[in-house]
Amino acid sequence: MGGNLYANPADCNCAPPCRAVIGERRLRPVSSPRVSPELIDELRAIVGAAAVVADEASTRVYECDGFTLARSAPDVVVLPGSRDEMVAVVRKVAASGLCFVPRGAGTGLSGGCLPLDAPVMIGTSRMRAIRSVDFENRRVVAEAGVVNLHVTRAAAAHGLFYAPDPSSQSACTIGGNVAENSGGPHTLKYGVTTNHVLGLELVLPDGEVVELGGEVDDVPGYDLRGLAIGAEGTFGIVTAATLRLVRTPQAVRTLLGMFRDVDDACRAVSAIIAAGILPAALELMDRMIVEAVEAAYGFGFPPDAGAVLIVELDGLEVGLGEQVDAVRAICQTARASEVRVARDEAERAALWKSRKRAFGAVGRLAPNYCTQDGVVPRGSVPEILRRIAAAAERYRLRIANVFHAGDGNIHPIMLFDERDADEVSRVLAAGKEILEACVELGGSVTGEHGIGVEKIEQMPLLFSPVDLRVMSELRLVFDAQRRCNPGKIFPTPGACVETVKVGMPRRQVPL
Amino acid sequence: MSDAQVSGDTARSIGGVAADGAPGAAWRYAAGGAVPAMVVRPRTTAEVASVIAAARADGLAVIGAGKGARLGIGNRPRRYDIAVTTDHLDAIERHVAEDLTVTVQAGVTLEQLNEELGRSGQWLPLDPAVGGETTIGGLIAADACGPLRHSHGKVRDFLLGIELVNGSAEVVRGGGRVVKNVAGYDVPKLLCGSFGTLGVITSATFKTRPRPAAEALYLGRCAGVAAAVQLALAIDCSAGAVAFADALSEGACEAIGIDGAAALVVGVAGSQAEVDAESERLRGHALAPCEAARAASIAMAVRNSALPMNDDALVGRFAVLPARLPALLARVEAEAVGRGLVVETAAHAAAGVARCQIAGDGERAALFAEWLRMTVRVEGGWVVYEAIPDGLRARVEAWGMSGAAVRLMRGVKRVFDPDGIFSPGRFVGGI
Amino acid sequence: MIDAALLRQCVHCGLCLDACPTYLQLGTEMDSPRGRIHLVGAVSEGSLPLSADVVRHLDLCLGCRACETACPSGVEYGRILEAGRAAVETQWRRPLGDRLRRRLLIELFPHPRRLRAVAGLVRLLQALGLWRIVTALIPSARLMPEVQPTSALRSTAADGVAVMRVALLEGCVSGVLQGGVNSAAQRVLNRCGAAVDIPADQTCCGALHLHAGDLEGARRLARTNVDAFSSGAVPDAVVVTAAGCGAAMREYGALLRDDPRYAERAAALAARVRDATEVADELLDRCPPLGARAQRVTYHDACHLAHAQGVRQPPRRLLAALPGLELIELAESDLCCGSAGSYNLTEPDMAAALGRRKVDNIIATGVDSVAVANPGCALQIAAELRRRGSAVRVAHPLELLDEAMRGGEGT
Repeated sequence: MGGNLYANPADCNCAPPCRAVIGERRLRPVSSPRVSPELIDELRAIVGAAAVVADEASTRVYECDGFTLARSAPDVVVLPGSRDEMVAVVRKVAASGLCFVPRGAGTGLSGGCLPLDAPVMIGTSRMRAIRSVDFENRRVVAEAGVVNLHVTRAAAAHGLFYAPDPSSQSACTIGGNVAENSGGPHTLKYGVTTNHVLGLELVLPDGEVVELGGEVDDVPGYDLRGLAIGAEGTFGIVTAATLRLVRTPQAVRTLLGMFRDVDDACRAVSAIIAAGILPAALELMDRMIVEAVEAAYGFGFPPDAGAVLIVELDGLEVGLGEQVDAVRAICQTARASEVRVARDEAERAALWKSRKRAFGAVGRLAPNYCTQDGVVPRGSVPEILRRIAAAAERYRLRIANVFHAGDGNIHPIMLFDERDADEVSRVLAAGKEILEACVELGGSVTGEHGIGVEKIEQMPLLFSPVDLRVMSELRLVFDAQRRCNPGKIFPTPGACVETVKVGMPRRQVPL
Repeated sequence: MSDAQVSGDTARSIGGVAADGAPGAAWRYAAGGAVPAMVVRPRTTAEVASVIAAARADGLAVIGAGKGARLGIGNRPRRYDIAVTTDHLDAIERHVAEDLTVTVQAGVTLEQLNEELGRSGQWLPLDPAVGGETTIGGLIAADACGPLRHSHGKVRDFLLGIELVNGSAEVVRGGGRVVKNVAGYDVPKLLCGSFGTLGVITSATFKTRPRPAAEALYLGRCAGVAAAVQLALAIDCSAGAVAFADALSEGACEAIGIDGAAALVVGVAGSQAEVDAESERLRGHALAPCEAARAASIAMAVRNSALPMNDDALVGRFAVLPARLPALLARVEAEAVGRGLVVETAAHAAAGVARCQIAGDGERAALFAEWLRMTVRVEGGWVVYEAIPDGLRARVEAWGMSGAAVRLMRGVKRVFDPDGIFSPGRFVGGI
Repeated sequence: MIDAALLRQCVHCGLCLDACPTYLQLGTEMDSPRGRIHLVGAVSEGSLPLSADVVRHLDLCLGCRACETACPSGVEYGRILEAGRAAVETQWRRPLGDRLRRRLLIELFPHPRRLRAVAGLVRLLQALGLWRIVTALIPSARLMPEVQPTSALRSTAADGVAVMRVALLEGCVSGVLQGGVNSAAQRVLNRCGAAVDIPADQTCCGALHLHAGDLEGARRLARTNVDAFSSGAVPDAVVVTAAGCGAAMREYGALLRDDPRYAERAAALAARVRDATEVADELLDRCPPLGARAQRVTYHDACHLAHAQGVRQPPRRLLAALPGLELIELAESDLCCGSAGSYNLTEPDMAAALGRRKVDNIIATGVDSVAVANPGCALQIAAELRRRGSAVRVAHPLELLDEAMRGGEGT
C-alpha cells in the first residue's frame, strides 16, 4: 500500500499544517477544530455506540474512497439509521460549528468524500430501507444507503428496473449516485441519474429537512432537485430519493464486432448513430485491452482484433432483428473481420463479463494503473485516441483504452510501476494533457467520476471565473458556511499550494 | 426601483440597442397582464448584456421573451419596463449529427430547429403547443412540453448546456456541449421552468434523438376524460412503442370532428415492425387506427389542447401519480358541475398530467380554483394556473408553492439577479 | 509481514462491500473486506499499530470469501486474511479467556477421538434430558444436534465396473457429527461406478487452524494428509463432503509451497480435490433408476463451496435431477449463514444474527427441506430452524440423492 501518501505534517512548512495531499499539491490547510470527546458522547447518545466510529484504527479505513491518491482520516464517523437520527446528528454537528463530509459506500472515483477540513464524517450505510415500492406508478422511494442494484432487484419481478447502472452498481448507493449524478454503460439510451430521480429528501447543513421535487415531475419553482443531483454532497445530506422505474425491455440483443483498429470501430459507431439506431450501449475496447482480456480469460477474440465493439440493442422483439441486421451490415462495411451475436442470455453475460473484467485483466500487465475519465463529442473519439497514443509515445507510457464509445466518454488506462518515480510523474503529466485535449475538442474533464478533489485544477479550463463564482454562490444558498463537504469541486484561492515530495500513487480504480 | 421610468432617450434605445417602434409591439409582449414600456431586439449576446447593464443601472425591470407565446403564464409582474426579445438570436450554431447534439441560439423556434434536425433524420422530441411560436429560450424558460413527455421526458432531459445573461449583465454558462458531463453544478436544470426570472437565455445545447421511422395514431371514443385516462392505464403505455396517450375532452373532440364525450388518442412510434406490432395490441383495446389524411390535424389538436379556449378561461395544469388521475378527474368534473361551472379537461394520460379549463363566474371560479389546488395537493401534486383571466388575478395565484424550498429558491434568485430586475413578482413565492 | 503484491491487487473500488455479511449487518467500513485489507495494509506498512481494535475487526471476519467472488481485480482476500491473522497470533496477546476458548477449539475439534468422546458424553446427557442445563450455561451448545452413534468407514468397491477410483476424506467434525453424510456419499459413489477408498492415516484437514491463524498447526496436519492420500495408488479424485475441508485442502499447494519435501505432492493432491457434489453430478448419468418423491427443496450455497471452490451449479443440477423435486432458489443463497467453521463459537452474536437472516430467507421459500453441503452450515441452520420450531429439514444434497436411489430400488 502506498501509505507514504499520508500527509506528514513534518514535511510541510505550512501553518497550520496540511491534512492531505494530492499528487504534489497540498489540498487545504487544517483549520477546523478537532472533535471533542463530549461531542462523540452526544453522537453516541443519538445513534447508539455501535454507529459511532472514533478509534484510530477504524477511522483510518475511512481516509479515502475509490480515489486513493489523496487521503485524510476523519476524527469520527457517524452512521445514522434513520432520517430522524440524521437530523439530530447534523444539528448536533452544526451546533459544534464543525464541518462534515457525507459518505455513501465510498466507491467514488474523484475523492468526493475525502474529509478535508471536515473532522466529522456522516455515512448513510445504515439507511438501507426501501420505504415504498409503487409498481403501478413505477416509483420507488429509497433511502440514501440503499445499494443501486437492490432497487432493480426489488422491481425486477414486476418487469421494471432502475436504469442508471454504474459499473459499481452492486455496491454503490442511491445517495452517492445522486451526489455524483452517476451514469453507466446504458446511459446512451436511458440517461443518467438526474433523468430518473423525481424527488429528494435533503437534510441541510443546519439540520433542516427540505423536500426537493416530489413524486411527480411537475413541481413549480426552480428545479432544485436537478441542481442538487451531481452537487457532490456540497448542499447537505440526501437521506432519501423518489426514483422512477423503467419497463424492462421485451428483448435484448448483444453484438460483438471485431475490427482491425479503433478507427474502423469508431467509423462503425458513427454509422450506427447516423443510421438512426440508438443502441442501449456502445462500448469499445482497443488492442491492448483485447489482448489482455484474451490472455486472462480466453474469450475467443481473434488474435488480430485491434478493437472490439460491443453493441447492445433493446426494445420490442419484432423490431430487433431488423436492427441487428443493420448493425451487422454497418460493422461489415466498416471492415469488421467478424460480427458475433450472443445466442442466449448466458453468452450475453459472458460478453459483458469480458467488458467488465477488462480492468482486472489490465491489472496483470503492470503493477499499477491509473484511469482517466474524459468526454469528447462522439465524432472526436478517433482524434482523442490519436492524441492519447501520441501522449503515450511522448511520455513513454503504455495506455490502454476501454470506454463508452456511444457517449464519447473515454477511460484511458495508464500503466505504470509505482516504484518508478519518474514514470509516476509522467503518468500524472500525460493524464493532465489528455484532459486538456478533451476540453480543446469541445468536451469535458469528467463524464461520470465527478470533480471531487481530483479535478479541481481543471475546472477553470471549462468554466469562466463568472461561471465558477455563480456556482460557488449557489452552494452558499444551501450551505452558507461551507460546512458540508468543504474543499471540493471549486478551486479555492487561499488553498495551500506548498509542494512537497510525496510518494507514489496506488493503482487506481478503473470503472 | 419603483420610481424609475423608461424615459427620454431610453425610450428610443437602451444600452445602445434601438427599441422596436412598431405600433402595438409592446402589447404582444404583455406578461401576466402587464405591458412593457419598450421592446428591444438585440442581435448578439453582447447586446443583450449591454441592455441588461443599462436596465440595471436605471433600475428598470426586464423580461426576456421569444415570441411571447407563454408570457401570460405566471403572476402579474410587480413592474415590467423592457421586453428583451431574442428574435434576432436566430442561428442554429452547430448541429453535430453524429454526436446527436445541437447548439442553438435562443430565438430559433422549435419548428425551425426540428426542420433543420430533420434533414439528418433527427429531432428534439418535445412537442408543446404552438411549436412555430415557441422559441428555444421560451421552451426552456416555460419548461414547455407536450404529449411526447410520456415517452421522451421533458426539456430538462435534453438540455445539456446553457448560456444566459444574468442580472449583473454577465454572460454565464453552465453544463457543456457533450452528452455526458458531470463537471460543476447542473446550472442548465435551474433554467428549465424559471420563467425569465434568472436571466435572458441566449443559447442552449441539446441532445437530439433519431426520428422514428414510422408513426401511427389510434383513436378510442370514451364516455368521459376520466374513462379515457382509465383506458390509457389499461393499455399499459409504458410497454411497447407508445409515444404518447392523450385524453381529449368533448370540446376538443368536436373541433377535430370526433363525435363523443371524450377520446383517447394514442401515438405510436418506432420501426415499421414495431408500429405494426403495436397495432395488434391497441386494436385489442378497441382503439381504431386514424386515417393518414386526418392524422396530422389530430396530432396538432392534441398538442394544442393545452391552450386556453379563450381569454376568459382559467387553466389549471396539474400532475399526480398516473393511477390516481382517473378518479381525481372524475371528482374535478363532478365538483365543477356541482358548483355550476363549465369545465373542460384534457390529459397526458399516461404521464399523470391534466389540464382543466374553467369558464364561469369570477367568484365561483376563484373558489373552485382554491378547492382544486387543495384537492390536488392532498393527492401529492401541484396545480399551476397557466392562464388566469384578468378579473381573477387578485384572487388566484399562479403557482401555489410554499415551504422551505421556496426560501432556497429566493436564494437562487439572488445569485443570478441580485437586484431583482428580471420579471419581479411573476414567479413562485413572489420571486 | 505480508506480501505487498497481495495487497496491491486491491484497488479500493468497494465492489466487495455488498457481498460481505458483516458489512451488511453492521454497515461499518472496517468490518468490510476493503476495510480489513486497508487495516492489514496499514499495520503491515507500520503506519498503524496493531491494536485490540484491529484484532477485533479481523476476528469478526467470517472468512466466507464472498468478497473474492465479487472482486473484479482478483484480490486473494483469503490469503490476506490468513496472513493478517497469522500476524495477530504471533504479535498480539489476547486476553486470557479469549486465549483459552480459542485453544479449546483447536484442541477439541480437529481430533476425532476427543470429539467422539465428547460426543458420547453429549449423547448421554441428551438421552438423560440433562443437555438443557448445558445449553443454558453455554449458549453455543444449542448448535449441537441429536448426536447419533457413528461407525468408522471402510473402503468399498464400485457396484459393477469401476469407472473411477476416489479417496474420501472423513473429516473430523463432519465425520463425527454428520457421519451419515459420508456413508450416503459413499453409497452414492459406489452405485454410480466409483470405488471409494478411505485412507487409514488421514486426519483433520487443518481448516480450523488456518482460519485461526495457526499456520504451523495447519501445515502439520496437511503433511499428514499428503502422506495418507498419496501413499497407495493415486486416486482420480480426493472427494470431500464438507465444503470447508475441501476449500482448505485445495490450499495445500500454497500452504506447503516452501516445504521442499512436500511442495510437489501437496500441489498434486490439492489439484485432485473435488467436492462430493461435483463428482456425483459428473457420474449422474450412470446412476441407477431414482425413485420419485414430491418435495420442495431450496439450496444454500456454503461459502466454502461457492466462493472458495467456485462450485455452484453441480449441487443444483443434481437436485434438479431428482424426480418429483421442485428446486426453489433461495434469496441471498450465497450469503454466509454465520457458521463459518468455529465462528459461531467465537462470535456468537454476529453468527446468530446471520443465522436468523438465513433462516428468514429459507422459511420465506416455503420448502420442505434445505440442501446444505457443509456440516458447519447444516448445524447452524438446523439449530436456528429448531429454535423457531420449524419443520424444515436440513440435508446434504447427497443424502437426498441417496434416498432417491433407495426409493428407486426394485423399480
